[in-house]
Amino acid sequence: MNYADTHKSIIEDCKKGNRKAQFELYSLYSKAMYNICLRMIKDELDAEDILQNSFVDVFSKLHSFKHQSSIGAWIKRIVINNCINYLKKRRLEIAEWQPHFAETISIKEAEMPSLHYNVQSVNHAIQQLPDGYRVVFNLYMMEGYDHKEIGEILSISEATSKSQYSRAKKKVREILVTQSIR
Amino acid sequence: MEKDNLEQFIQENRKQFDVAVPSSTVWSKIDAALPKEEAKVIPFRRLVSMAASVVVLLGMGVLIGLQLAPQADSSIAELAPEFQEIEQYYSNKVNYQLAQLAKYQASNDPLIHQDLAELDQWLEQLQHELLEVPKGQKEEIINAIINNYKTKLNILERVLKHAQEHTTQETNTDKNISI
Repeated sequence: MNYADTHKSIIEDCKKGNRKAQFELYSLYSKAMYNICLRMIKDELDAEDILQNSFVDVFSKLHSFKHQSSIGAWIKRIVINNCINYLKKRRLEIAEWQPHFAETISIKEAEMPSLHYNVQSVNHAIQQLPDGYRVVFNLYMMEGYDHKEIGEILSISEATSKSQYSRAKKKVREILVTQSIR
Repeated sequence: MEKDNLEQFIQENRKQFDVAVPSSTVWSKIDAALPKEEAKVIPFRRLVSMAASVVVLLGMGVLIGLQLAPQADSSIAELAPEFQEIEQYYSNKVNYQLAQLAKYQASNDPLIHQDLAELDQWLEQLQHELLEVPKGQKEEIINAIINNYKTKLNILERVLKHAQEHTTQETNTDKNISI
């Protein structure tokens, strides 16, 4: 029995409502999914609520999962949709430029390579992005969707996704520079 | 488009960005929100197939055993001394897990005991067979015995993990009340 088959049998048991199998599936994916929620939502309690609701969705919709994609990708899409619905309720605006950072410094990309990155500061910079930028940046860079898929997920055009992403990336860099100067 | 150094950095360190862990209360809320598990139907087909394989194995054992009777050894220790060590190791582990589990309420679940009893029965059967079959087939049976222990450990570990998580949650609630 290979690894994929093990998952398959867990999934089939989950479809039958077997609680042990459901817990096993939850254990396999909860951490990765929680980190997605946290990056999208920022607030820990709200992120946990979305994680919880997403897994209830996962188990109630699982009968429609026919192994056409990986179970991980399928769960991830449910989680992301729930995150976006949550943000939309809070007026997520994709197109709008939100100048949150009065003290940011405009720097040409060529001047950047000396920046020393670390996980913590990059994470911190992503967290400071306005909602629209953060969502596009996370979907592209952290979750590996392409701009066409992001367009579908967010109901925006592929071009908007691209431009939002490149602005978001620039913003992350600016925040990182500002942090390193301080 | 070529990747720049920021993209490259994130890609190379992607796993390190997933450090947060959700609290254990999330699962208990999911557990509460899901429809209650239906009472487990006795898997009749599985019982039949288990019984059938026992009969087949026994039959084979007896047949071959009769033919090779003079050569067949009856002591496991002589045949596979290392097997005894392995079995000792696993049965210690199982006993330890059982002792751990006894501390929790969840250990009262009759379904768990039913599953474990099924495995025990199967184990007894295998141990019995091990003494009967000729040398060439012992390895297969030893593997089946080890698998039996592994399955048992697997079940126990899962149940124990679940029980521990529920207990942490309960103590958390207690704290809240006392505050």
